[in-house]
Amino acid sequence: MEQTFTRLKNIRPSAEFQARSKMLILSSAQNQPRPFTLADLLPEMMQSSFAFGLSALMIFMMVGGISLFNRKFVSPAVLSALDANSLNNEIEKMDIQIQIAQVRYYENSAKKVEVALNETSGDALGDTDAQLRSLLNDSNL
Amino acid sequence: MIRIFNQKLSKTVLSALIVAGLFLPAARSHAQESFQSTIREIANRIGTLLMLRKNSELSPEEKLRQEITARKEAVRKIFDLTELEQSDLLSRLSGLENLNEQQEKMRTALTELVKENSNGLKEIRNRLDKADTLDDIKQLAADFKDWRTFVYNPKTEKVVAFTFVFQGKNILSVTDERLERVKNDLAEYQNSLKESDKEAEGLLAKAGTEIREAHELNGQARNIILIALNNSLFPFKNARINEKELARDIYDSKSFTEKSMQHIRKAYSIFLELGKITRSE
Repeated sequence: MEQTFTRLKNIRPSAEFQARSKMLILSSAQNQPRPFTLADLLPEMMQSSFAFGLSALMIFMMVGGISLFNRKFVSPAVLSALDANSLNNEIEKMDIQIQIAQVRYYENSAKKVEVALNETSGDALGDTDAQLRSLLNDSNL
Repeated sequence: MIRIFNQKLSKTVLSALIVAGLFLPAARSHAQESFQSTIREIANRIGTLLMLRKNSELSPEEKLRQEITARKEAVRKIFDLTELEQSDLLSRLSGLENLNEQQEKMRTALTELVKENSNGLKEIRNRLDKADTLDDIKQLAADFKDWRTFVYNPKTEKVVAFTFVFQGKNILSVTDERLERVKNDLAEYQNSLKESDKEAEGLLAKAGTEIREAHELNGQARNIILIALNNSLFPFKNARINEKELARDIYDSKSFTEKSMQHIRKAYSIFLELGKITRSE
């Protein structure tokens, strides 16, 4: 085993291979360092501006998009004071119509009850027929 | 701990208010239905009475018996209606809120007036239970009519006008809060409104005008009824109450309150229109 390792350690390229490899390496193109010019900067600038512009466009679209989203979906919630359901509920709770109807009820019921009591007491007046018809046909106050 | 308790208390109070807010109108409309169904029953009894009068097939004795029953039932239904109205008037008075000292004094005086009706109603009920003859019933109906005309109706008119004007005032305070909320919301949203900016502003101004007019009319109604009732309930020594003037004042007050409420309704239709505009933007 030790002999095998010693033999492997002594392996060397041939002189012909060494000469050919050296020639190949020396004949390949060499990159020489050169001073930094405006022509080198321009593509860099172009790349940065593009990135900057793209970012600006994306920000604009995002803001505009949110605003549009807000108008389409959020605004009714934001303007909760103008929400139709809430307004209608409030109108119902205030029951304006019921209040007015009840005040009118008391005006009408007094007249109708008077007609009914006239009839019941037996001293119905001559023009009571019209009032009676009103009581009988229009009992919705 | 106190904070948690306060939060719980607020929630309980809020829930109670919501429940009350939901059921109060329902209770009122239920009362309205009871009035109407009783009026219909009265009309049916009078209808029966008219048919009996034209009926020539019945024997005089049977006709008399049925006539007594129909008249008695009619008077009983009118009595039931009067009792229903009486409790409605008391509930209207007790439901008033935010009254000042003088108004509170008026409420107490009016409540006493309405409660005094119980004496008259008690007497009518006793007589109604005992009335067996046609003459008894006829006389009772005539007395009941006089009592309603000279005692019951004038009190009822005062109470209705008084409570109506304050119900209108309470409704106005809810409307004022709503207007403020609409203004705030629109101000926050102002930047998003473009073409309809002017239209929204115009509508908001219009709603404001309606509410101002509603306030003005309610104020006039309140002044009229408070002066009239003050003179009627607490007259100066030997001062005579002009009943015609009082009746006119009650009529005017109710009419102004009703107009005020119509303006409030208009303001709410404008709010609904504004809501449509902001949603369509």
